[in-house]
Amino acid sequence: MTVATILVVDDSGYARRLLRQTLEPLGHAVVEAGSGLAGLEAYAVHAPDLVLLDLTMEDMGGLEVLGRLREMNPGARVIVVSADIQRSTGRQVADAGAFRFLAKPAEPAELAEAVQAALAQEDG
Amino acid sequence: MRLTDLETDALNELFNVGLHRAAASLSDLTGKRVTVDLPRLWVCSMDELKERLVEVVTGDLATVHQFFGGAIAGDAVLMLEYVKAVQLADLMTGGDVALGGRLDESAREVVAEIGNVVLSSCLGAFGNMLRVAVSFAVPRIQIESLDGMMRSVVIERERGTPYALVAATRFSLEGLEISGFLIVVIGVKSLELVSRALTERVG
Repeated sequence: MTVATILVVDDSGYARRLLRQTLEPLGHAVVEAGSGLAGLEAYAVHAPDLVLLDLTMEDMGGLEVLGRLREMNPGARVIVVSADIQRSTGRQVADAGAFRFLAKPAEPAELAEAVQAALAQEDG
Repeated sequence: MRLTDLETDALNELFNVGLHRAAASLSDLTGKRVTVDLPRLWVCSMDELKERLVEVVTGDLATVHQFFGGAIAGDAVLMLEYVKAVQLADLMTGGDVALGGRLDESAREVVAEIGNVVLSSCLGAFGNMLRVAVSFAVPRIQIESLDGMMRSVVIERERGTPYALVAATRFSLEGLEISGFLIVVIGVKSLELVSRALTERVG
């Protein structure tokens, strides 16, 4: 089991708590950001191993955040966790370079598996 | 009733998931991308809800009501301006129904079925998140004015509590002039149960 620092970017404090509740018992350190901009700042400060990113946020949408993260670090590992589960959204997320697209609320087992797979991925 | 920040946040997330799930079903049905505004949540009276809606809809409406019960009870409504409902029925059937710009019986059945699928997705997501069974009644389509719709919204009958939790979002189908509203109304009694169930999940 790889233990990592994981940045959770979601404007819902409740959603962040649900994710933290799954991640911390697995030994991961969780950093939270409550907006897209705060997420970019937190990424620069904490250099996390993985980002869990919501799409629908008021200040900056998750797809834009994802684009900027990959400009900052082309090897950034990002799992999108969103309520918007349209097929077209899934395609946009994949095209933008996300590792995985999970529907909210993410089931703990599914989230743990996706996180482990993302962390096991080779850089870049 | 006063909600804590965590309860408010949890309710926002519940409706965010439910209303987006409904939008995804509509996208699957129509083959079109559906754009959804950020869902809005209010604890308000039915009069206040009407005041909010009167600013954004005009003319007759085609509404599909899906009453739900079980651990939580309320009314989920797909609300379309009449002309938009005609366009939606047209889109779904390649122009076989809604002839002459009217919602005849066949066209109404099409819109009712769309409402059924879309609203059931939303309510199913509520059940999953709350870990409770939510049962739905057969969907009911009505052509009515906004006044009529407000009268037909069914919430728990609670003495002295005319307020309800209302979640609403506007959606539109990309590349088309079709847009409408998804509205979920639950009574204050259910609201307490929902808040408790959600916050218990995060300790």
